[in-house]
Amino acid sequence: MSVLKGVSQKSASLDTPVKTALIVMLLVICVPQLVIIPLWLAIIAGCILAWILLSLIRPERCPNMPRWGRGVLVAGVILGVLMSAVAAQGLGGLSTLLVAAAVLKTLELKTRRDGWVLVLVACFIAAVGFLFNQSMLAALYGLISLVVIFTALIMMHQGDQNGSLGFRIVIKSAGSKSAVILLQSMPLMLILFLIFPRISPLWSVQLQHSAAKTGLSDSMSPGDISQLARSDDVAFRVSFSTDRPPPPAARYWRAMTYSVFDGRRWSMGKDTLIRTAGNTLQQGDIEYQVIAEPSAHVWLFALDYSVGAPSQGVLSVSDGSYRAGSPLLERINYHAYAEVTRRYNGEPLNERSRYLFVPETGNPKSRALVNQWRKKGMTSEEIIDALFMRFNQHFYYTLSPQRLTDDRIDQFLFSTQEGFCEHFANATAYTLRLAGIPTRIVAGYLGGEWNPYEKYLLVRQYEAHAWVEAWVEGKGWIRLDPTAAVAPERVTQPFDLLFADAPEFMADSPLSAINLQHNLTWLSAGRLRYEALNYSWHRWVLGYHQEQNSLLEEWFGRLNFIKMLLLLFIPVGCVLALVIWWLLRARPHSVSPLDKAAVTMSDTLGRLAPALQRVHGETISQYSRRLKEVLPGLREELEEWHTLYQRVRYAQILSDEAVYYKSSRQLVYKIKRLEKHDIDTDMDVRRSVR
Amino acid sequence: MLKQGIVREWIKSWLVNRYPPEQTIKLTQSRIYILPTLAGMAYSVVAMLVLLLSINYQNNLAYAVCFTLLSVFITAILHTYANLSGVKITALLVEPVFAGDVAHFRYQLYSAREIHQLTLCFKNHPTVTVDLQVNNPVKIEIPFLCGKRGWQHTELVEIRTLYPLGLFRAWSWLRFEQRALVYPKPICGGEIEALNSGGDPHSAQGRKGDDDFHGFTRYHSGVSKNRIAWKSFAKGQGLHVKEYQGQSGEDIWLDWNAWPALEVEERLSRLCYWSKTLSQRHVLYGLRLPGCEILPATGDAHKVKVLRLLALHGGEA
Amino acid sequence: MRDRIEQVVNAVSSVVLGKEDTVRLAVACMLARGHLLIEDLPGMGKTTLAHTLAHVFGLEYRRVQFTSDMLPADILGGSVFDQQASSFTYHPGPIFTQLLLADEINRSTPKTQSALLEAMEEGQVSSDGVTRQLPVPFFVIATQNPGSQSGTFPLPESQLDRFLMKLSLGYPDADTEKVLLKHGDTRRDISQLPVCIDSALLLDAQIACQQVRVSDPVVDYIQRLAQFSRDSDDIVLGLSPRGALALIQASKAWAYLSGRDYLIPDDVQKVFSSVVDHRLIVRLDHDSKTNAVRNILAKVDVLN
Repeated sequence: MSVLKGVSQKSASLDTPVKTALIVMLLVICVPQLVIIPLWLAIIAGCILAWILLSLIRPERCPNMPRWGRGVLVAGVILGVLMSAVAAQGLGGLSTLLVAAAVLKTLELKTRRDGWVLVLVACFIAAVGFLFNQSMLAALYGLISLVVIFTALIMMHQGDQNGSLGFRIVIKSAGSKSAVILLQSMPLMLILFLIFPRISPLWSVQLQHSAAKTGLSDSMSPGDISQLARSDDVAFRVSFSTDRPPPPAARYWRAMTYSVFDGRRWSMGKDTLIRTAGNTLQQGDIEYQVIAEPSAHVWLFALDYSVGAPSQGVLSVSDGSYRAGSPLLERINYHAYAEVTRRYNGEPLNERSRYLFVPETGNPKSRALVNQWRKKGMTSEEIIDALFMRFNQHFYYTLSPQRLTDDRIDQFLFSTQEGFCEHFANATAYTLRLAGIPTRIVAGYLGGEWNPYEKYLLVRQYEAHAWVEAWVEGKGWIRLDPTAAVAPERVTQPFDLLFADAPEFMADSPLSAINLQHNLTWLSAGRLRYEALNYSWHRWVLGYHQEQNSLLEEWFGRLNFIKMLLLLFIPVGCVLALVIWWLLRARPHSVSPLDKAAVTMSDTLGRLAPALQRVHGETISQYSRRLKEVLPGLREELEEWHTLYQRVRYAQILSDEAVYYKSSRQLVYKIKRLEKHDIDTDMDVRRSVR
Repeated sequence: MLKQGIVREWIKSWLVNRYPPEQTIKLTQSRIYILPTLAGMAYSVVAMLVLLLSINYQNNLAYAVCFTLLSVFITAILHTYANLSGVKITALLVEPVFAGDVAHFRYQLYSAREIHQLTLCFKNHPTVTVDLQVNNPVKIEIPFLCGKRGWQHTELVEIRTLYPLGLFRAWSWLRFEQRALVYPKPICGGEIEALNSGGDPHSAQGRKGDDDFHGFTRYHSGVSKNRIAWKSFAKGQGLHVKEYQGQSGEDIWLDWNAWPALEVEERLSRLCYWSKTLSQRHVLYGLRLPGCEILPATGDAHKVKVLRLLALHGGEA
Repeated sequence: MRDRIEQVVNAVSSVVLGKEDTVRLAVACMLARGHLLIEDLPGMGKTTLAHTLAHVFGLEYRRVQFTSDMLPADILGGSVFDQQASSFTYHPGPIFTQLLLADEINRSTPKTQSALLEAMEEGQVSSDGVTRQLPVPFFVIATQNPGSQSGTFPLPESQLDRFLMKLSLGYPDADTEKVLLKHGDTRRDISQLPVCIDSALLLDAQIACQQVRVSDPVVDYIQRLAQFSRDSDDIVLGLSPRGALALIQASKAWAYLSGRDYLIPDDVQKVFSSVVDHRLIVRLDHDSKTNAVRNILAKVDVLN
């Protein structure tokens, strides 16, 4: 056996495998940053890392970089970073800085201290990455990055092992160790994640976001909403307190109302904010929770008809829609209530003229038609019915209507007679205003896909919808959905089923699972499950800071400081105790199953009398001989068992194995039933024999 | 500076009192100390930065990264502790050395679990780093510079580990019931002639005369002038010494009183040198020290006996 | 065949009284094709044992009394000038026999010892550039006095492992000694003992020994024993792989003698000290060799 002698090792220098691991770690960490950092940095970083990696693997083929070369490189990168940092706003600059620093550090990778710098920067980069991408995939990648970081760290502290064993073995052992450490840390991390109080930001920060998002806008002209049908982006998700969605015909999601009409476009009027005091909720009202995707706009989504006060931070508008205080740059999560049928309590209509305004001229045919109706002395309701009858009888609901020019409404009503919801809404509102009925167009979404796994409704951009509300004296605003008159199936059926064959439908993502699922039912189920997962992810992980209070309160009641500490320390203590037990348990070397009986016998007897334990050097035949003396009652069984043991274990007669196991079981059973006094008397006998 | 020294002394004496010397030491929690390393502190600073980031951006995944880093920090304590706990260290015999040489204190390390990167050393001495396999004892030698002759008792052995993450340093101080024999530093000097008992060269010559002439060897310092082959020297063949067959039968005494002018330690050093030299030449020699005497003999066992007596002269037996 | 071997044991035991275990070990040694070294004080019956063994195995045997003035040629033989033929002719030495009794081998000089040990190792004798094969089977049973006796040249440790086993007889117990005293010297009875076995049968038995089955757990056990001896602090030089092989070989013979065709750890333990004792170098400042060896057996777990 070789004896290890002392070596003086002052400088903890890194050897090649460790350096390689560190470079690989940096590569792994930097990959998600590629979309954030400037292209030139990505290229330079890639080149530097590849060059260093090559010089580590094939040192003979890579000449050393001259000193001045390094100097120029470092100076150049620093200059570039400074310039791009000035140009970039917010975190892009931070990310660039970190990546550049880490990559430059690799040029000077010699001691363990350098390795540490890399590791720490890598940890920070991993966290910064989540500011840009928070998808489940990114989280998974982040977890893998952490495993890689800790693998590199373990390799740094594994020392000489690296030289003697193969790189692959070392990587494997360090990797599994790192995975184990992370796994053991997970419970603690989860506890911290759950109960660590989420403080509001210490100073205000701005996240850059790609501004142009698809979605509704603050004005509408025909064709705008059918554009949205090209997109399957998620608009928002809703869960209901009853875990049951309202019927399809009641899934009208109001985003905003357009009351101002200039002859071409409909746009939002100046609706006042209202303060909804208290909750006058009634039986049958729906309580729901919305998670809205960031839209860069202020409007939120309210299930018709909104009632009571929404959760804090959500503003109620007099037209029954909700609005956020500032443009949605991040996902937002709010509570609200809705009543299924609107309760009108007799308030008058303000600014009636706004809801009646139409340009003086244009669309003569329509005007003629309305005049004709008015001459007949039709009431408001009758006019509406007549219009909808027309729609029902002669019009087509289509995603790709013919283009309209000049007198659009005339053209629509009398010649093309086909259109998407906004065409119908446009024509309806215009016609009714001509008839003297105050109207406004409501923009929002109709429908939503119910996810039975996570019990939420998913509303996508292509479900964007426009409908009309008319003011009827004594009834208030009533909903008129001309689309329902033309194509009642739009209301009752999922949108994607309705338009599956239309080429415009989801033209932006032709390979989406939504398109394919009509042929494959399993895909449909899979997609639903995936979306359910994504929903939970958004709600419980990414939006946890909004859920934390209610969740903790629900589980543990009102929280105070003491309770918090207890919550922290009891589970943490348990987990740590478990881990330390796992670490310190002497791993018993695996006993052959054939030997187990002997070990059990020895342990069992040892509890009765320590002298009856088998000592190390004692063979099974010696032991059984000894036991035969002490346990005359078991003499035959011992003899049989011992003979079988030798036949199976040493003579390797495998056919006897079953018999042996049976005999072992019986013998162990009998030995376990021995009482202390059985043996004491026996021992006396043995002593006297001696 | 002075204050630091006092503190260190105090800590040392406290440690000495705390742990009685033992033959075999098993590392348990009462012996293991654990603190974060500098790198570990830097790591927690990074974790705090990540926390700041996540608070400001209300980013729950960044929170998760921060908490993962913190949890790993906590878990690392256990892993580092476990990498030291349960190690059994047994002090083994130490080969004697000469003063001023490095003694290798031998230990056997054993663990029922796999242990990585254990580092052992004496303070201010080179370190030994070792991995332990399950149930597979490993022997190591820790160097220690021995300055004074006599029994060198072991200093506190430091055993430490950074494994697995280097965030924490677990260490322990070991005090062993173990000692190394340090022989005096051999210093060349004096003449062998003066060591011959009786101091009468003629009587020695007479005894030698009986034996057969055997051959010549090259001159080396300390040889009696009578044995130099003057004839061949006169022929210009250099200094040679006449060797006799029966020479190993001759008695040489290494005598304490040979150099009255020298200090105690210098005398011992010189005696040590001669004992070493004579043993190399397989010459019979004896040793006379005040109060004791070793009869002339040769061989390794004899040498060890002589050196031991020299090493322990004036001290404990 | 096994009965015959049993007869051998009985026959030898009838002469060497009260030492059945030692006799069995000696027989096992021969079945394992190993050379045997018997070490004891004078007058303990080592020569008797060697003689008896030689006789009952029915082997052609010669006895050489080693003395300090012996030369290698006295054992190996040498070329002598034949005046009639006026050329050198080779006179084979006493080693050319099936069984050589080397009495008091440590009385001869190291040179002579080396010559014998080399021949034992190689199974052949080289002299004047001609290599001559030794007969098959070929055994050496050597006896020696304990090293502390004066006038001896201890066998070099590096060559001691040419002997498969080293046995010592020790004093007989009281009853045996009384019988011995009553009946007088039993040595002259040797020639009256039946010859139980011939060399062909012996070769068969040796082959049968080779075929004893060694299961993995026993191999593991032997490996652990060897490893322990190497790691032990009491032992300077542990068991070499060759030593471990010898241990298996001897254990197999013991298993065969015990009427089994497979090896069990008990066999290993039985032969352990006689096979291993002379192969280990124990640290001087420790008590005695047997203690260290017994320690190995006690500390290494039979099961794993």
